[in-house]
Amino acid sequence: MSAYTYRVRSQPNYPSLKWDVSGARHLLVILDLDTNSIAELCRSPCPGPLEILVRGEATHPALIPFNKANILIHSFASMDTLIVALENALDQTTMGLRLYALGHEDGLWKCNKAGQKVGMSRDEIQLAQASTTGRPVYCVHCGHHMNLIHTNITVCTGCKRHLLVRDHFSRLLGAYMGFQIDAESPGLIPAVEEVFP
Amino acid sequence: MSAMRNVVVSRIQSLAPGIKEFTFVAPPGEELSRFSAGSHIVIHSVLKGKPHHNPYSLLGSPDDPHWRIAVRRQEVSRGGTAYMHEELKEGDTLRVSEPINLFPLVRLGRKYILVAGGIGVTPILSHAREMSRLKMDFEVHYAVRSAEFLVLSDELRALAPGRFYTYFDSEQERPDFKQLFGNQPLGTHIYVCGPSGMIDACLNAGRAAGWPESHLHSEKFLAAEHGEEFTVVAAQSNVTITVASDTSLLDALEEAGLNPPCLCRGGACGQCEAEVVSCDSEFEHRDIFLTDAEKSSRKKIMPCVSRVKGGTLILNI
Repeated sequence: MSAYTYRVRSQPNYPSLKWDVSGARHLLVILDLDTNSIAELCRSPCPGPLEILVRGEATHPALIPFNKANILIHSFASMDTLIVALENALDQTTMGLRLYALGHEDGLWKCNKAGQKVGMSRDEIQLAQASTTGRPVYCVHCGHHMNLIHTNITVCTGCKRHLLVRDHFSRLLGAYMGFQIDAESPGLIPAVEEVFP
Repeated sequence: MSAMRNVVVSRIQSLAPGIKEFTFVAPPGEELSRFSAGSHIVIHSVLKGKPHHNPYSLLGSPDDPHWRIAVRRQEVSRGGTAYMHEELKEGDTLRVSEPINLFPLVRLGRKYILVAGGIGVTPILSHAREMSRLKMDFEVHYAVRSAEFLVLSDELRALAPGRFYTYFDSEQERPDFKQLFGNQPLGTHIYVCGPSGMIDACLNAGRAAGWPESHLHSEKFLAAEHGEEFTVVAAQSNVTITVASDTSLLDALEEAGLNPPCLCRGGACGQCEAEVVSCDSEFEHRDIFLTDAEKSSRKKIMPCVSRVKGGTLILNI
């Protein structure tokens, strides 16, 4: 995780994925093929019918634990096509489904938003961060969204301001707030460090 | 205890055998507060020297300048519902709590299923009115003993035209919960109010179909049942009280001058939860607030509806 030792309340906490036995059916969205996280989840068998949406190749070795006849794996080349497929699947399915998402933070919150759009609640959705702690960032000055920001300070690709990437997270926007770092002393920019590997 | 106020009974109307509707208005010069769908009030009365507290859901519209409740006379009434049915007259003044909502509407759902059993229709009617006003997708399932007990159905049918379903026990009709839960879109919420058996059957069918707890909403009020006489010691206040067999633990504590926090007085809200120091007899937990694990831990009790079977109960209050 990041070099920060304190947490602000809004900062999400991501426990590992764990099959929810109260669910009747399960939908796993793999945004980043993280072998360790998948192996950990597969230590216990999925308690019901399982479908998987994965960004990447369905033949990736990380997916070997899911090579069973009754598990449907749908593979997508891009985040956008995956999210559209997820939205369609959620729109058409019935109560009893549990949604699990694994991967980078920006994708996790896109999955969460797709769930919220159809009225899913927090206890039906699990999000687990994997592969990178690179942050989605929202520029509070121009409203621009950036993704996979690895440094404490970043330049907004919308308004070119230097932004401090805060821990303050908006679940609605699915992003951390970025504030202009040199608003009071223009040009005074502290050292840029990689803190979100 | 929540804030109290006086109301005046403006109208009493018989809806069905043993079921009456009461309309309350504010005393002259005052106004009733507005309430949200699912709210209830607690009517306080003193009968033969004993306090009674009965919760009733508000079934009217928050826009009305009056409050409406419907009361079914309990066959074995401790006095509260019998008093409402036989002694209360139009023009009388009653002492009641301000509205409390322990059954609020979650507005983020895509679809809503409302299930009412018998007099449990009252909060369901207020939810149906709110959902109709907000143009939400909802349907109403209403089960009663027989056709003559189908009260308030004209209002419900008007609010949910084509989506209002009735079931008569006398005709062996029951809602098929398994089917009802089996094929609902994601984002569906269920609200159920009625007899315990029906609520349990409904919620269990929901859980079996994989519904999460956050989408299963229920409300039932329990009356403090009679039991054995026992002794309660309030350790902090150093008071020892005898709880008579026909008095609830909460009423006994209040009569002794203690004022433990409480809200619903029906075992639902959790406000009156008391810490048990020790108890030398068996617990009779009747609330729906504590978990089974908490109930068997012998560490907590809800004084509004629960008691112990004789002996001495020491509470940390």
